Amino acid sequence: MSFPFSYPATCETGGYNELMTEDGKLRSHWRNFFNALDREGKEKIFSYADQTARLMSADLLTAAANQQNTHGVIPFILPYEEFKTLCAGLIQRAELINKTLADLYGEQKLITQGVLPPAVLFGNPAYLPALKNVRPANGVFLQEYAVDVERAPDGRFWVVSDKTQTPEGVGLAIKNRQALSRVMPDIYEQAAPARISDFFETMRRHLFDCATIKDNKIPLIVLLSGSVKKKLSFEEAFFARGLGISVADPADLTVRGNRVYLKNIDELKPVDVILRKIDDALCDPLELNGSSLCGVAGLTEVVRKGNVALVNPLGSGVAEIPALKAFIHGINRFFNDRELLLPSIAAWWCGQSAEKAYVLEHLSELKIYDLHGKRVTPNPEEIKEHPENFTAQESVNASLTPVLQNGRLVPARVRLRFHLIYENGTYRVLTGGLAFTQAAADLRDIWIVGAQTEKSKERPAQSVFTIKPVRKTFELTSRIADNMFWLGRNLERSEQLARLLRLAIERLTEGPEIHASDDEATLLSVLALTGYLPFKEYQNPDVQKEALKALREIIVSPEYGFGLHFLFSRLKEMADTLHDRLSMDTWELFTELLPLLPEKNANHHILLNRLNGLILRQNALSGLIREDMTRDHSWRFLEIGRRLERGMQILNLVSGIAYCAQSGFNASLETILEALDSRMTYRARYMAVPTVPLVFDLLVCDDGNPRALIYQVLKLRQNISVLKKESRIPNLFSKELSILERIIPQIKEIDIMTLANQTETSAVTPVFSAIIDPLRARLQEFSDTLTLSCFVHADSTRQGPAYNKGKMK
Amino acid sequence: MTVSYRVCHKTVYNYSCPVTLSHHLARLKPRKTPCQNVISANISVMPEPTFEQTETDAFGNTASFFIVEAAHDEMIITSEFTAEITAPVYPDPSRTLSCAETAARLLSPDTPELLEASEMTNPSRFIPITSEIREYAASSILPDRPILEAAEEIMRRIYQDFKYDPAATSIATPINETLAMKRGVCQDFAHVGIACLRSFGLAARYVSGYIRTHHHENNRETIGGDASHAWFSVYVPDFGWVDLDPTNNMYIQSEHLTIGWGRDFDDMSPVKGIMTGGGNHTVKVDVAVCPITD
Repeated sequence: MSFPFSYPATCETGGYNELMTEDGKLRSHWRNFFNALDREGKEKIFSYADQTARLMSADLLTAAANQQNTHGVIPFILPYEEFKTLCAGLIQRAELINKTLADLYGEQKLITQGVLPPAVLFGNPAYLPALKNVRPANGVFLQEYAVDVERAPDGRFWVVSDKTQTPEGVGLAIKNRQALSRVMPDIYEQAAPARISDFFETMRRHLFDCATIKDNKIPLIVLLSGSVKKKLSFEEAFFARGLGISVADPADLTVRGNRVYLKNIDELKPVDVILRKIDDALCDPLELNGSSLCGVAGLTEVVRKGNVALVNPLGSGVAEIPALKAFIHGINRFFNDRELLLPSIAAWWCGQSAEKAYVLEHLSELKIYDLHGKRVTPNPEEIKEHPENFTAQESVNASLTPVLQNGRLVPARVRLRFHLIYENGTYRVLTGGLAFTQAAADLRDIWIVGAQTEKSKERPAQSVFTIKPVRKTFELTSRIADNMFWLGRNLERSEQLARLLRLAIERLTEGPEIHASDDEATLLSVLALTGYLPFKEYQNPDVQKEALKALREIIVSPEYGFGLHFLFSRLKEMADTLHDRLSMDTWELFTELLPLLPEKNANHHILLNRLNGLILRQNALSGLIREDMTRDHSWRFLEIGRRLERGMQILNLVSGIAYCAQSGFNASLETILEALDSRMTYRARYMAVPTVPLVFDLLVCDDGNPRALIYQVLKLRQNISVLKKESRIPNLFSKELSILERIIPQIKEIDIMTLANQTETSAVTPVFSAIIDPLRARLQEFSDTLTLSCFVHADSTRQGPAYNKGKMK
Repeated sequence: MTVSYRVCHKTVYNYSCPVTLSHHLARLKPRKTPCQNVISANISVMPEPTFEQTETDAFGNTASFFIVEAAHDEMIITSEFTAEITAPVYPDPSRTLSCAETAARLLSPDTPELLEASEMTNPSRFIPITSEIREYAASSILPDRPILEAAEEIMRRIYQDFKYDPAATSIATPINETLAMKRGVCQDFAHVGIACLRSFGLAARYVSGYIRTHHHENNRETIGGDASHAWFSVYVPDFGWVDLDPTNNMYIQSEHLTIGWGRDFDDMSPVKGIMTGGGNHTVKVDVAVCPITD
């Protein structure tokens, strides 16, 4: 076949050409891929590239904003034979690191036998004395390992970097594989890369094996993330989903006695295995790092007792000490009779004088790393001052692999990352991996081709991504329940506020001839009652004009306490932390609210336009939450938050009637109905001018009106009853339930006719207070009780919307 | 000569809001040393912990781990122990190994004793090695000088150059600042001494404990008002560790009681805790060191 693209046989850099031999022939392991592409027409690759980019960006959108990786459409292809040779070297290195870790946190023979200078270990902050002689639960120090290799011009691979603490990258590799197999299924099938689908199976089996306390139950495994409060990385979310395990923030875990527990809404559940995605030093503030409050206090003590397994075990970070690479051959000779199968990149530790001199002479050719393994700009003065803090490393003239750039196929330097998992006394290498290039699309999937036995006959789209269905395994932690509850409350509050603001701005900017003049005053008074405006004489047109400015502030100003900007920011933060609980669409809608807010100096027309847009989106959100979310416990907490907040808002609006009366005017009942979206319902029922008793009845007592208070209370009761029934703890939620049970008769017994003869101003107030105040108190009591029994041990520092009487700014 | 002491160390924490859950690590129990025989040691905590566990840490000290689950706004930790102290015998400083040879031995620690010492030649969280420290130490730590002479001089210079001033520093004061102010408390002086020795590749560790204090007016022992004490210890090859107290310019005799040692204060802080709730807190420490006469 003739190769369809123009591509150089030799590269300017002198690097190994992954695609072609020196005489310009396509290397045989790439043939199937390009033949298949050629059959479809080579231009297809460009549309495939677009589709891949779109697929990946849609999925990665949900990941942290700083992950700007792009994904290439052309995989990195490696023949199985080469891979097998590579594997032997990778496994040898993993075993070596495992032994090294065991020694460095054990007998330290590498030091006493003169293999390793003491300062390499003791002078590095990665070494944590608290972990000395702490053996991991199953005796294996390296359970998971990621390693980066590069190919030199002579075709040999070199190890350039070890990731032993929280190895990452598998998620992205699988994701990329998933995209490519969907975008170009026929090419994928022709090239027939070895499957990586069994990764999660292997990983899950491995995690199960790590559980130390075998008491005939399914071990509880959690993924410990340091970024739940900000945003889960794609990798973390993908892992948790793929493995069907819960994601925990350090605040979700607590040490009691000599075990570590997951804090669930109804009980503390003992955790057996923690797949941790945070560094050693940040795992336990009590013993590992006195300067940080991050982590789970007392975790080290539980590990010491062997009552929980961490993957990777605490302490695995020392294998990432850069200076170790300078001694790897000595370490290998100490443990093994064989030389390293896979060469390790040359490194020099400046703590030795000859090495320091060499490094200072060759500074421009070397990469310099500090104690933490961070690459730094070389500074000769600093190196002379603290030589023991620096390690220099040679660079490989890395091989080049084809990537698409500006419509052409061009060579780009590539680094490969492989992933290993401990299994039955040795390591298993994932048959695939992640290739990093410095080109436009910087990540690509590694395809291992030509494996005799592993060729799959199944369709890739079905075979590659079978992730077992996971249902009830997602336990609900207090933190998530708490966040869901406030997500619901804040969403409801923002909806109600947006509606009120829209009405108020409409009325204030229209001429008075269009509507009854008490509308504005009513709306502004209600906003004052809700705490957004100061209490003023809102019948006065001048005061109204002043208020218009404040309304704008409520919409646009981030400093306005519980204003729209404030609420939308909180909603976005919460949606981010709950990102693995919300559907993609729901999450996106939550994030769209904030950018839709108008500019500071937008005119009224734009303000109203934007408010309309926002209210539409809020409605869409409500719809999604109602229709699309699984009715699990977390949804119930969201629903409880919404219903409770709506109940509170109804009481605010209804008491507006009394407040207006107190201020000397009759509230516009039409407006109050409209603010609660109940005008149509009222018309349908009564076909008459609104009166206080009828409006009151519709908004408070009418259980057929979904905007009535009684309706919210019934919904609350329904959800709490389900929670109570499904909870394993007998008395949980019974207090909440009894509060709700008491509210219902209280509402039903209201005699609306006592309000009938009191439409005249002033007299209405005491009657209203007598009815509304106890209801409000009960709802508050409900909220407090729920918070105490379900959330408080979640260490929440969040402050929810408070209902004070004045302006909160 | 052997002297027996009874020590009572009471720490009271008061919180502005209730603490609902707390995890603690206390290093209050004295360790056995060639010169210190521990007769009895006991720690009590109010409110009563729901879980207690005693561990030996990486440096061989006794650490008490405990969890308190009862809501409280006051916590009292009382440590009481009785120990017998024998005055140590010291080598003749002028006949100890030179600084250069000591440092060289520490680079190839081929015995457990040297391995332990070599860990103490490295910087630690509170004791970074800075050029300022090296400069300060340079006149005392000369390559050919016997190690103990050098260390003794460092102790004496800290005693002479630095002023005892509890208001000047906190736990968080960096060592260079202490050095610039020439002020601080026993911890700071110990840290400076250790930094000086380590900056020349020598091994020095932080020792936490108590010292008997004399009430000069009528020669009565002071009860209360005393505090934890700290000093440093230097590794002398072919002998072992020698404890020097820069706050009092003395080799420790039979009036120092040792809790334990580590790289710096961070390893030996008497009580560490991670609290849920609590708000602001105040701490009151009361230490009494009484010789037992019978």
